[in-house]
Parts: sequence; structure tokens; C-alpha cells
Amino acid sequence: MEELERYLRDVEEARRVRRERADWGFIHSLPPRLRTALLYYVETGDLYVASRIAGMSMEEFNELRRRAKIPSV
Amino acid sequence: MRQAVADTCFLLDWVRFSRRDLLFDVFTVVWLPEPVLGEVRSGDTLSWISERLAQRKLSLIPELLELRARALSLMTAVVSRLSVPLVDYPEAYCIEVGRELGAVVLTENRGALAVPRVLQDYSNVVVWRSLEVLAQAVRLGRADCDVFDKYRDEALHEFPRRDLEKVLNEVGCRGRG
Repeated sequence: MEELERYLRDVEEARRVRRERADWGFIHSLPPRLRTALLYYVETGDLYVASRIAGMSMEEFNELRRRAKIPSV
Repeated sequence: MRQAVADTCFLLDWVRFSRRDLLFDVFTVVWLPEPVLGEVRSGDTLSWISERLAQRKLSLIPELLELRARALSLMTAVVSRLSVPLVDYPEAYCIEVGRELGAVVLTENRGALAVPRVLQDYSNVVVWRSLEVLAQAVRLGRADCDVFDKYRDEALHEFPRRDLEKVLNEVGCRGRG
């Protein structure tokens, strides 16, 4: 259980950093599919699923993440 | 000979780093599961990968049915132990490859990091992030303390604060990063 608590604490810190650093103006300017995928990424940090939501390869989505100034944490 | 297996989330950030060949100062061979290669599209990244494959620094490993089945078992074992699906399939597959080959698993996935601590059968599996790779490069004298800042800037990658502090202390870079 200690391991789970540590995991959840780390996940929450990572989510906070992604939310703070994201370029929200850019994200909200995007078409719905890409916007939804970036919002999912900000909340979860899950590059694989976010890329599938966006309909992109993981590398293509990673470039979109960089343009949105969202750090990988 | 030190070997590693890289998952996609590690590799995609790492290839943005101007000193990406540091990876081969730390590891003799880095295995790439075939699905990882399938996620790469840009000419620059493909060019770097294909050159390193030709130099036998990277090596492709196919997606094997036996390891696929074990990866799925690992995912369910983690849920049974913690009641949370901590590990997704791509990371689970890399962990199984690492376990099979005795290779360090390179990933940025937090769930994957927890697996050796949570499951006794996986206690011998070593899981590293870019942070640990960079720290090892510093220990080996292949990189200076500024490598952590450089990686953060170039890969747009943020290290967990506590983990970064701990690593900087360990490698004698306290007060930097």
C-alpha cells in the first residue's frame, strides 16, 4: 500500500506540473479531436492512449505535446 | 556487456536530446521492441535509429507471442496486488523483454517503475528513466552536471523534484539542475 500511495502522490505532482506549464490558448485553438487528446494527456500523462485519441502515431503526438508546451513528467 | 530495452515514451523524448548518443556510453546494446519502431515517423528520428541499428548499437526485437502473454499476466498481477492498473501493455511488454534478457528497462512510466518493488517475481528487474541514464553518464565521466538541465530543455521533460534532488546529491551535482 505504501507503494500505491507513493505512485498516486507522484502521479498527482506530475499532473499539476503539466496543468501549470501547458499553453491553454494553443490547446483551445485546436480542432476537437486534438484538443481532447491533449486534455487527456494533461490529466494522465499517457502518451499511447492520447496518441490514439488524436489519431496519430506516438511520435506525431509527442510533437503536438511539445507545441502545446506540456512537459513530459 | 550492459543491455537495455527502450519503450516508446522513453525513446521519443530521448531522441530530441542533442547528446542522445550518450545512451551508448551507458549501454552496449539497446533493444527496441518492434512496436516501438512502428510509432516513429519523422525522418530525423528514423535516420538516427536506422544508423544505430546498422552500427549494432540498437537492435530490433520482434513482438513474441510468449512475451505478449506474459505481459498480459503481469498487468493482471499488478491489479490483483494493488487494485489499480498501474502498468499498460507497452510497458508490460518491455518489462517482460527486460526480464527475459536481463536488460535494464528504459521507460518514463511510473507504474513500470513500481513493478519490481511490488511483485516479488520481478524484484530482479531493473527499471530506469532518463534521469537514471543521465546520472550513470555523469558517474562514468561521460557527461557534466549540466546534462540534466540540457535534457529538460531539449526534450521538454520535467524530472520529479524529489527524485532529481536525490540523484543530484548522489552524483555530486547538488545545487544544480
